[in-house]
Amino acid sequence: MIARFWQTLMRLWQRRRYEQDLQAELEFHWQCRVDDLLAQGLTRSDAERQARLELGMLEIHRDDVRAAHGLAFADRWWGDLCRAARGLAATPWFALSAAVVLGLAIGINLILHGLWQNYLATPPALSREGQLFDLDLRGAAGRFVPPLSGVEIETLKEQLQAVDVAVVYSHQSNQILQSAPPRMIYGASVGPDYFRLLRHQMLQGRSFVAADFAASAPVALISARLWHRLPEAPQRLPVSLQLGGQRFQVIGVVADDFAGLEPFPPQFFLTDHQEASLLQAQGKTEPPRFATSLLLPPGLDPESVRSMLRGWLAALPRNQLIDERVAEVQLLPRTAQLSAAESRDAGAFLTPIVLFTLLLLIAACANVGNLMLARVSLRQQELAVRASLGATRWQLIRLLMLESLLLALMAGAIGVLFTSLALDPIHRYGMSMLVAIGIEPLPMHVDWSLLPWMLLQALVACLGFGLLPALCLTTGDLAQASRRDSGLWQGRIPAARLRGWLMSAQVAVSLVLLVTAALIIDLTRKSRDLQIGYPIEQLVDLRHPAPDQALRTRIAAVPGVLATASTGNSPLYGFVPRQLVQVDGRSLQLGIQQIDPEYLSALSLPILLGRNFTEAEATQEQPVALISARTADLLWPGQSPLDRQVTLLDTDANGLETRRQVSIIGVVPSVVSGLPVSGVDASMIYLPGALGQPAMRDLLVRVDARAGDALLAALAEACSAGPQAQLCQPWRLSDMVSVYRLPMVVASHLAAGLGLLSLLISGFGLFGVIRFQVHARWREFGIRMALGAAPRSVISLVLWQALRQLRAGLVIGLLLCLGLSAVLSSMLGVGRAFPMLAYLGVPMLLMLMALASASWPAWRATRLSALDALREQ
Amino acid sequence: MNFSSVMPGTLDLLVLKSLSLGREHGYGILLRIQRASQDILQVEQGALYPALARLEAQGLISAEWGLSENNRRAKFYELTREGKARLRSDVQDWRRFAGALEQVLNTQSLSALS
Repeated sequence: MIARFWQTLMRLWQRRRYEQDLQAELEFHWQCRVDDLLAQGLTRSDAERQARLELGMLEIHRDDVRAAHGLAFADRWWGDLCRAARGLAATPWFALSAAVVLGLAIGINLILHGLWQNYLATPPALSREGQLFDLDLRGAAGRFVPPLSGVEIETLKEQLQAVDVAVVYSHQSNQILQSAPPRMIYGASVGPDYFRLLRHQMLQGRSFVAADFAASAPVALISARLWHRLPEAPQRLPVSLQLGGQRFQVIGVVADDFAGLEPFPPQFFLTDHQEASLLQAQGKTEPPRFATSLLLPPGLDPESVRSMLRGWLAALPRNQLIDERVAEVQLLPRTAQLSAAESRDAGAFLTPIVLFTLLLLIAACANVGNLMLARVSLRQQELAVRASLGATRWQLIRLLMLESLLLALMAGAIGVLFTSLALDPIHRYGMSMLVAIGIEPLPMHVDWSLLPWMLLQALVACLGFGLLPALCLTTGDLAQASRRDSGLWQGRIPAARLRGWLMSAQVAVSLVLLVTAALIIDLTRKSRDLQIGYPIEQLVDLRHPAPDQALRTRIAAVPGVLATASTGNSPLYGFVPRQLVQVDGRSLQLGIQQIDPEYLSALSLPILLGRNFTEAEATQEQPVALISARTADLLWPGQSPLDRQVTLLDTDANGLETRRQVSIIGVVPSVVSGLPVSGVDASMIYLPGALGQPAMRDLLVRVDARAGDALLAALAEACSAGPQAQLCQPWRLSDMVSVYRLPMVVASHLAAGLGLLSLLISGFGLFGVIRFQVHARWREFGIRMALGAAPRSVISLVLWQALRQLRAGLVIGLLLCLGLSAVLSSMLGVGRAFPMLAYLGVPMLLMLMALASASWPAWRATRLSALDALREQ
Repeated sequence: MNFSSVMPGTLDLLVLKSLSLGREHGYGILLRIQRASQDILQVEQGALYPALARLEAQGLISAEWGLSENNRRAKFYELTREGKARLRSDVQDWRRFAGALEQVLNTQSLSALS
């Protein structure tokens, strides 16, 4: 069977030679017969004639030989393919519209598939047989508990040694690289089995060995990207590198694509011990916690390991602390570069995008289906003629399906082209928010594994929009087929009505996509317009690990520095901590922040009522507090909050409750202290503090409005100029706000891009459909013009027909959008999710698009002469 | 007696048998069949080549280009091992069939059937 197939393929490949041989064989036969007849005494002309007659119909014999060699089948398909290609070439506008519409939608889906494959489909490569599981610890009621510490992991390893389970663990680490200028880079500290069990490629030097984890000499591995950026790059290893204020010896260079168990490829790797000592040197008292995975040997039941872990966890000292008590342990199979928990989060992020792109694909399919219907309606006569000449129903369906297949392949090719051009820019743009914290995602390229996905989509689309019209169209009689646009499936389905349904679906989907995009853009705009309440361009967060008075003095001496202030939490840096308080018998959760007396003036915040903290109150942490104006309204509406008492309720790690009563001494304006997206603080209590106290971890610097990046460099220099040199990375609060807003900006740009694509698809689709509809009425327009109809009336007829296409779709789409807005407004607050511009603008835009799409066919209709129109039939 | 063509289904057998005598080109096969049947069996000339193509596709015969006795380029066919085996089994089948047919035709009366 295989040999026969192979021979057929070879004959197809060498087709010309095959035909020549066949001709030569028959020629030889004929000549031999002529010779015999000559020998029998016939004249040459009679012999040749006689031999030709005896040989019979040569072409029929040739066909029979080809059929016996399996070539007739290929010939039949090739012929149909050529006819299908000619059919498409005869209607280039249709082919172009359909292929572009579908190609764009396939391209967007391919991009999404590429991203999914990169992060969520490929597990880390192992150098040992077994299955990797992520260790997932949960507190009571599924609460988050901190991961395992180094000490705990040591005991875990001992526990699992007996069942040959390896423990792989790491801690993602952002450290400042001493370079010009200093910058933050992303890396990981890892355990001894990390490089032993995860497959990796060393480009230079060596990987970590057991001795590196025991020795005190700081060593590091770096990525090829970082290596090439070092001034020592041309030199041989080892070289030294200053990371997080400490000098490391680089012993190896890892290939860029090695991400280990981290979501992105780290730029450096440290040993777990080095990370702990580095954090200690930076003044961080908490030891690092490690994300832990277990490599189970083949055949070992994860459930048995899990029950072992339960017993081990129950005996851990951490259970004495409420915040760290483990209630549940799970072993989650590692199936992607992202951990099981990260995959879950990423899935939640990707789901709306998947829905968005799926809608886009549906719109595109409806669009192309519409185009196909419009086209097959025009082709009924042609197919009827083919049928009357002997084509069977199957042959007609095959011809139409081949046209669909060709179209789908063209669309697939456009999709692949679009993906190859857009995948990396979109990935880079989407990840640009991570660059600020030192993460550099690797470039992404289209790989061939996407091809089956593209072919699958093309095939589904082909079956989806090609089969139904093909079946409908070939189930009819010739008499009916001779009437144009009469109906499909023996007239049971009016073609015009089916097209109307498809058009409505497409317009409704496009409207939902565009209004959603407009909603996201509107929310982003509102977030951008939000008034923070203080001059973020003039405020710099020093980002020093352990600021002290000496540092403050050095910073204050830098020219261009106007003021310094210390605080427990730098504003705009994550969520505002919340505190349980009791006020007049009511228990409330209020925002809380510790500040020194200079904080308000550094932020240009006036005292609205009462007074600021004194130095003495700050250094002695006396029981006084300032509150924001909103908090005053919340707690004592219409009354003065001065001298009122608030009780702060604290629960320590052991569950013991302490109470502290503070007296309100002043009111300050309400500002944005947490994430910009959270808006102005709903409540805020400011407690006094002073630099040097353990809780006062951040130093803010107010700089001159005209200060440039040189001042930031001077601040960084002042940080490292002290006796205990430590690095800092000064960062303007305005930059921080930009980083926080970036996800919204990226989301809005992506939404805008997808919306634009949807608009483009709608435009192409409308153009194609209206052009075909106008073409179907060619004779009517020609006769109207011949009878003296004004061009204006024909144009208005076509444009009105185009607008009528949109009616039902707009109504359905607007209803869907209202539902969507209702859901969004319940999540974000009433009124925010009903932008009038989107609700009025998008339908107007679609109508304009329909008019624009119809204008060229309308103009062509006015140029028709009756003769041309009749000849067209 | 004159047959306009051989019985349907028997052409393949005739071709295989004629090739069992040695490699031959299409025209030669035709002549062998006619001579062996003393011109009783007339093979339709054009029908021979589809039969040869069919047998070749089935792997029962193989083909090779060579020079004929009158020094012309010709395609020669040869029986393969599978072809020889098929010929043996087809000849047995045919003889059984012909014997059975002969017996039927020789039946004289109804009593002979009981």
